[in-house]
Amino acid sequence: MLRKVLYEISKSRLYSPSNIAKELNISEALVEDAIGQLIRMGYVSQDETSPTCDTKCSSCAYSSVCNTVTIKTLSITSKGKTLLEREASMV
Amino acid sequence: MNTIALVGNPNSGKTTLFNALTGSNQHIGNWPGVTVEKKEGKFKYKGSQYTVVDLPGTYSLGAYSEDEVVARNYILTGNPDIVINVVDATNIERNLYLTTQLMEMGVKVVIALNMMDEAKQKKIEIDLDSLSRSLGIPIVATIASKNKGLEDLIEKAIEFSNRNEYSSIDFSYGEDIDREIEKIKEILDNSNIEYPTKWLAVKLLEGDEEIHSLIEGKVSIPKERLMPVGDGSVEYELELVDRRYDFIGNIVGKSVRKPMEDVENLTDKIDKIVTHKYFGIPIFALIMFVVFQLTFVIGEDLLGEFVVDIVDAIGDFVVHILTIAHSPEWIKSFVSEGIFGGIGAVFEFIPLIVVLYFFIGILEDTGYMARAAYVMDGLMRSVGLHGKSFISMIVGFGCNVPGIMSTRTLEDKKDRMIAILINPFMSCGARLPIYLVFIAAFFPKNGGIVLFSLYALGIIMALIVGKIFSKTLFKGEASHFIMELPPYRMPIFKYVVRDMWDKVWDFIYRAGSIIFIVVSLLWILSVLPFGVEPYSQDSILGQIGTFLAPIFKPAGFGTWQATVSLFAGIAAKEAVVAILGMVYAGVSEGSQLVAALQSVFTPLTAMAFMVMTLLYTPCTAVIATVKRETNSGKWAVFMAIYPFVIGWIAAVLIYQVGSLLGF
Repeated sequence: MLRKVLYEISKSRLYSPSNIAKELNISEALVEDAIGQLIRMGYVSQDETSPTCDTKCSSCAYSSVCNTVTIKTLSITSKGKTLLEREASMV
Repeated sequence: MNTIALVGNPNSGKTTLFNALTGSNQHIGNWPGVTVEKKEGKFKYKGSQYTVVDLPGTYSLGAYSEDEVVARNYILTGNPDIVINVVDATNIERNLYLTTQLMEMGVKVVIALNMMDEAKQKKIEIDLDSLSRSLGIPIVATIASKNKGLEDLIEKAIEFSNRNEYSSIDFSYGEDIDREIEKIKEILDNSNIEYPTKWLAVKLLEGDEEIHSLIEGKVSIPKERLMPVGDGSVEYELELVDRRYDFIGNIVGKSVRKPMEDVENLTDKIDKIVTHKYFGIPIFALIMFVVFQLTFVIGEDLLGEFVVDIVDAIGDFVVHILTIAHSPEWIKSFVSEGIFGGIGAVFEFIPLIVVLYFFIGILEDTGYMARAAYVMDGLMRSVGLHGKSFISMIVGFGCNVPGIMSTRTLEDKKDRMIAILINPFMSCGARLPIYLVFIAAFFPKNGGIVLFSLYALGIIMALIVGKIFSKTLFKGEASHFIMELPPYRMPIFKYVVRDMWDKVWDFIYRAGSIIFIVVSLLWILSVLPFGVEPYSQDSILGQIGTFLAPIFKPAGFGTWQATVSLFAGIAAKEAVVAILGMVYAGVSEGSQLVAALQSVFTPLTAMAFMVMTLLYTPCTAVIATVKRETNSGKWAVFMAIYPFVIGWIAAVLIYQVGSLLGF
């Protein structure tokens, strides 16, 4: 399943847990779980627009003007790319 | 049996079950050495007393968090007579991952399949017998919040704990991996280890360092043999986790039936339109245009006059009090022209800012901003910029300081430098009052269009400059990333208003602190030396402004007042309007800034001035942030100078071309 989720993520510049869940016929929570596992194992890296700095919001002078919109992005790491390439070569 | 451990995913209803079983007979402390809360309770059943330990909620039994380690160590060393695994029936696939790990540990497990009422509501059908047979574990349906199924659960747990059998998992991880597990297990079997060796072997193959530390002193075998990494053709950890999920998938497939979800839901339908290859950007532009139009219709037409009247009334009242108290003329002058003429001019635009932030808050809360970032990502890539830069640009609309800080998500230094350097072209909230006062004076009928054009110009300029930088200063390929599209949701009014209020309050706070200091200093310069006409060209401020004003003559606003306001704006952008308010308050009849501006600016010079303020040197806080983030004074100086040059060129072009065209 992790491989399938990684492949689904890599297919496009966009991913949505609900679409992957539908595609793989599993629950959305499980997709999120799988993405978490892939991140933990280093196949994918994740960042969010917030929080992006070392300063805690409570002690930041700019916290109130800091945009709170959270946009998650993933990048497939070289480890993830190697796995995808290996999978592709086996098909 | 007398000790029961409760284990389960967060939000599985584990603590509700714990409370239902133990009532008020609880003791709360901490697990030794960590800050994780330890909850223990007691209950009596059929004359016997039982101790229940509520372990921290966790999704697995690895070593990635304190909660996982605490739960795992207790199961391993705490010797509970039985483990009750609380499983959320509405999210069974995810919850069973933890179950498989408990089974691998070889402990006695009974499943409390909780929240059965919610599962029924969601039309999830679970064949308990089939699930129990497949897993080899007793399962009891429970609704802990209604005390349902608890007696049956305890009965089953007591019965199972008295049996001489343990839960186990019997499936293959694949031939290669099974062989490796067996090899490690053999080594462990020959050592004096009290823990289940197959489970230890699996964890070691997964690369679990915590487990290696646990057995290190007891096994005199090199780590490479206990934790093989393979030849690179097999990823052990991935394989192990994946096989567990496959195992769960098979079981759930046989025992659980869920209603089919709509093939295409509302989110999909909306996304097809708003993220369309060709329509995506025009839709984004249209939405922002509507937001700006609504801001003017509601903020100015409905609320604007109201706040102006309040500020004027308070100003008149304070001056009246000062007159009654026989205060010196200079204090009255400072209060009336410095504070209420200057800072008051900033305050008068609060209604528009409130409305604009309210609408932007709604867009953020619905999840649309992620779509906006996505459609702009395509445009960013087409000009050679990293798509993630636009996310930091969106943040920059609030304030450029966090906008620049959010570029930390860009791994590549070149991408990051470009994103930092173009961020100040995003029009921050502090620049808004400048546009609003000029729009009120010269473009009252087309406020939305002018405001939208300024924001759009900032984005376009950022793209052009970014493209130039990527071709000159920071050459290189933009890296790839994938963006999550969260589902749309109805904005929650409470959160939107709270966010809006935070931003507005910050605006008010800054007006009362930084802007107050700037205005006070410049007020002193505007009335010195003694004996000169206050706010005149002969004052120190007037002389400084007059000296620098020729710089802006080609842009059409080479007055000393405009010049000092622009330079004051480098301290903080709100100061531009405050200074204009102060210096014009003394020369204009009625002290109305809008009327004063109408007498010295034209629509063309007003436009040139607004573009200058949009593009020129960012405030000192931004320059300091650039220095900190790039760790270079050179880039901070560059950030202070290059936008000034660009802003000046743009303003001059607008004025000169406009003049040629007869505007």
